[in-house]
Amino acid sequence: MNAPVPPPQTPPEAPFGEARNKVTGGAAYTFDFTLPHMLHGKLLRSPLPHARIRGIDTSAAEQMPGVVCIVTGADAAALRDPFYGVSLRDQPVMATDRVRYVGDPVAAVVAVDEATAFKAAKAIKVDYEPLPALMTIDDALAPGAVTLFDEPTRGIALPVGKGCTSVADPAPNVLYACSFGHGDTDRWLDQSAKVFTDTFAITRINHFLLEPYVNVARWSGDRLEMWSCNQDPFVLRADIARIFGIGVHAIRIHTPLVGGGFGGKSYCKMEPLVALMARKAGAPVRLALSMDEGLLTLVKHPGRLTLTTGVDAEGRLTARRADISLDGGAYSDASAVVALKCAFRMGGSYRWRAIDAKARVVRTTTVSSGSFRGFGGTQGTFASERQIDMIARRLNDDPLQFRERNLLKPGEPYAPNDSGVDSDLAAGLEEAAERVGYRKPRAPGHGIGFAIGVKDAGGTGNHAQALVRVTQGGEVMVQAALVEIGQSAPEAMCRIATEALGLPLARATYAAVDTDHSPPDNGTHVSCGTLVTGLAVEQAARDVRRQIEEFAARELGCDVSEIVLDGWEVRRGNESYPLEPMIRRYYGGIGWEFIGRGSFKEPYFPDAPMGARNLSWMPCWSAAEVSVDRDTGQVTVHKLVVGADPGRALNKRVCHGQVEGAAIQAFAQAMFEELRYQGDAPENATPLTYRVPRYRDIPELFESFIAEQRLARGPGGLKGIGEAGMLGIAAAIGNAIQDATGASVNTVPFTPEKVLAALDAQSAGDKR
Amino acid sequence: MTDVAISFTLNGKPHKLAVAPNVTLADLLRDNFALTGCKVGCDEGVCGACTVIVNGAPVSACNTFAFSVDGRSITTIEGLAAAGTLHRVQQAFLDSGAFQCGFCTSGMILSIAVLLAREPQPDEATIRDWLAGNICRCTGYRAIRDAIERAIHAAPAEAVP
Amino acid sequence: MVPRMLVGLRSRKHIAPFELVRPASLDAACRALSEPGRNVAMAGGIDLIDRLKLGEPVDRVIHLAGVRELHGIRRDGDAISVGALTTHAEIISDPVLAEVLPDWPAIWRGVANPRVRHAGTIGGNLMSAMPHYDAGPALLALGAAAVTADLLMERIRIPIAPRQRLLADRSLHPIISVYLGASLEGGKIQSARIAVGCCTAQPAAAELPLAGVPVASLGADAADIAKKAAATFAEPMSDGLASGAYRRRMIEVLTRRLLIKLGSQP
Repeated sequence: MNAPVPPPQTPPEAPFGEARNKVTGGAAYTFDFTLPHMLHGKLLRSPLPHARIRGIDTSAAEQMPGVVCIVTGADAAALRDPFYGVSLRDQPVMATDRVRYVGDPVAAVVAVDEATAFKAAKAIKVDYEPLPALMTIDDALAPGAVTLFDEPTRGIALPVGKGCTSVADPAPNVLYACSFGHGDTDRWLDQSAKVFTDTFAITRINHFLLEPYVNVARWSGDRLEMWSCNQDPFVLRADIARIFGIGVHAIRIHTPLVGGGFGGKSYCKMEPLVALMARKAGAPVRLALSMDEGLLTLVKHPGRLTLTTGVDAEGRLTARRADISLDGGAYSDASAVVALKCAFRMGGSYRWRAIDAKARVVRTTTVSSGSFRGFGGTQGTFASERQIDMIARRLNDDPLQFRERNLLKPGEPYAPNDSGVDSDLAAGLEEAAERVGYRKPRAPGHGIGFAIGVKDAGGTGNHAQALVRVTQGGEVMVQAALVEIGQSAPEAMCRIATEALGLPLARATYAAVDTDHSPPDNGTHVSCGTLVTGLAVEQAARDVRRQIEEFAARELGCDVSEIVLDGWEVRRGNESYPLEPMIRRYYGGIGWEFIGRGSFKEPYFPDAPMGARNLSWMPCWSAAEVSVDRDTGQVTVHKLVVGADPGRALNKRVCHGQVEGAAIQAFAQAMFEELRYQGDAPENATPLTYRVPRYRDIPELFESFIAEQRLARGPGGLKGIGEAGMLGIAAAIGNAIQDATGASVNTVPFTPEKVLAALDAQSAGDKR
Repeated sequence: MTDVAISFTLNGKPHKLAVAPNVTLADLLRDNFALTGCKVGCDEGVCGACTVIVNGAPVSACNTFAFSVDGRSITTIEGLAAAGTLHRVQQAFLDSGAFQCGFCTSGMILSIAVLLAREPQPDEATIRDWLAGNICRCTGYRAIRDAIERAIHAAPAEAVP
Repeated sequence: MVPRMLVGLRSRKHIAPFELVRPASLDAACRALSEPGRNVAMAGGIDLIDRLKLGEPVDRVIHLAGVRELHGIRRDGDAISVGALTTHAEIISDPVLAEVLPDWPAIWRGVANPRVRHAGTIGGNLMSAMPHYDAGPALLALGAAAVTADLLMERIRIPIAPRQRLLADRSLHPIISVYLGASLEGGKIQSARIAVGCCTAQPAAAELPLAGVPVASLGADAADIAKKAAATFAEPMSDGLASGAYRRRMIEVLTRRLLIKLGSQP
């Protein structure tokens, strides 16, 4: 950037936890984990988008020296319940009778080394009977289209609350349909002064995880031990238990540092397969996917959203109908939840008299769509914030004022029976406008656009537990299942614990995540960790503090109300008593560890639309200044401003990093990033051809702001912001393009060709 | 397949080995020397996570055969610090919090160390050209640019071996 | 051809075992390449290793680094001779090129990334013939010719003029890149060429009918020249990045801009 943001005002802190290891090469990821004599796996994948598997001949491969075993669908079918997916499970541990996308695994080789495994994979003969491909939503919904699944989907459609519906298999090739609504949308639209209908489309992107999927599995008798890059070790444990028909305590999962997650490593993926490979081989097995394979494992839902929105004569929003079709790809993964959340988030940041949002997930023979930062909110905010802007312009209203008129106020419920919005949306929007220079005169040819996105955060009825241990020397260890995926989870948890204890952060350690020792949670996703696990840690820290104070009071022979914990001493009146000698005197030997316990659970509440009140709301305010080359259609983003509200920042630098990182992912999707199909096959599913942003792509002026509005319910008023930066960036840029040129581009990414076509259409329209 | 005899300096120490010609530098470092700071991300020379320094220049270890380092001097992230003192780029990364998951960080730091050894005060265009080969998916790069600024203003450069 | 997705894997662990041959002369290299068996030549190795990671079987890799005849940049009569093993980094820093073809090093600074610039060679770039690679169109625009020895590219010969210009527009790369090469003398164009990359399997070039035209007049006629020149190119490819129609339109737009730029800064 020409004007780099100066280093934050706070002086550099002492690095915490794994920070020093990350800059010296000492950080250990699942990618680095090895076991003596471990074997190596490779997957054979389908070259066809859709086919029946008539037979698999592994005989030649099995004969090769160094090949230990080969796992196929037959092995998977023998498992108790060999399917996975969130709520709806249709993805087999290994393809049995059919393959459903180019890249669908059909066999797994286990060999003494990877080279041998490759050779063997190539020698496996699969007899395919090709079936018609369904490459788009329209293909899948065409009358008479082949159906991707013959049997009803296993699992139960997500339970939902009041005003919502949730149905599995509503129609051929439709995995799931859901809705969120309140009020009488028909009536309100009828009564509206103006009603506008617009359609938006968004393409698929991949997480582009630098540490690709990697797992190591080892059985000791009936007990499975895994080292996994999965973000949700307890979710994984539960899935493996169900799939194998074994007890959860027969499974132990270790989660080292994760080299990139963004939701791509959430929920079950190929881990049960690795466990199956290790069991069949009778030896530890490592399966490391390549990044190419990662590109064909999971993507963000592409889709089409049609919004019909009414306004009254005073420019107030009345009602919105949303019709959302998400392309779920071959298998469900987290599609049901993404769809439900997408529908739920169609209200955006605004007050509505009525809303009726319907979403469905259509099955196609493409890479599965699933959990990706933003989780339906990215898609929904793009459509919503583009349309809000278009409506304002059609009404000759200032887009900023139009929004401000309709924004939810702090404390106002997002939906009936749901929690109040715990951010000041208007204040953040105003700050974004200031920073982008909205009220200054525009440079010639430049346009400015905003967006404000809001998504529920913290999960639905989420829970977490934590332990906080304090030694006789005042060293603190926090044990929880929150996984470090780069969001500084260990530091956040240790800050919360040491704040409650009044001890220095430098004396705290975050324990390795290990399902044998870490107390369980729902998973590191939905931006819940800082708040949900944070509340559990806070409670655990208070518990252990009370234990320490009660111990000291007993030792001093006084009432606990007479003493105060002060650093690693207790004060009673004017006297100070160091704790370590007191503890050693009583416990002797190697000393003692106080162990505090905490937990949090948001209760279910069936009247709330999602079935529980939302724990927090996660806004994102963004503004972009662009210019458009009218001969090429190329868009240059000169300035990008992004802001979020963490309630209270535990570490401002970390907050900036989260918002900026997400914003650039969203920026890339807006400008050029997409996983494309050419006919039946992926066109750019390689690291060389799948373009992700480099430093040179970042807008010249790029800044983030962290607005600590202190309205949230986490420890000291905090909440999460991990996904915030995804929300609304594409709309802000689209709005800026319209501000600069008058042209409406409503399909992402805004490639030069698309923008040029919009400019051409506009000129043609002008000439009429 | 005939092994190739090579000798090279690795983080200041001399070594002699015989390597199979089809072994990459990434695997030589990770498997033979347990230098796992060199991460393999894309395995196509694109992402830069496997960047190491050979004779003062950045190379993709995943796209370089081990035999080609014969007679050369290699520096990995583990060798960047001198006697326990971090290189100024490492320190700047810590001070700026210029990493999140950390998987790209070794390659990113080494690339920047080479840049600053060659050009102590690089302009923005030079930094843009130089960082084109190091992908970070987590940070959005602003904090990394921040770290570069800190490193530029820090003490004079250590020579990159 | 077996679809790559059959195995779906590109990996350094998949590189087939091979015999390494390290010839010290061009003769020895050519002989090694024509031995029976599957032999490949290796320059910087970037594209070769990428291919080998797909598991392509190979018997011998002929490593060319020691072949002295393939290195070096020097004047060769009325041309500059650039050895096939010249790296991109060497092109950027070479004093002979900086004097005779000053535009080329400046454009090359932004190509690929530092690791590719350090290890990758101009010969390798040309021989790989990836549609989005830059050496092809750049050298076509300069009117260069390749000198080969049997199966090997030995060097590139670039004719030099009293003033040799090379302008590039890579702003839409990898959708399209356009290079304008012009030999100037006394303010007039001796010869000029437009070359286009990323549009066709092989880069394409067209002579511009500008012999004797004063450079300063280019600005006024740029639109017309560009339109005519663009029409001579074969239909560009359509892919997910852009349609052939868009690319064709951009050939004209970018050519016009380069002509205007040349006209204003001869």
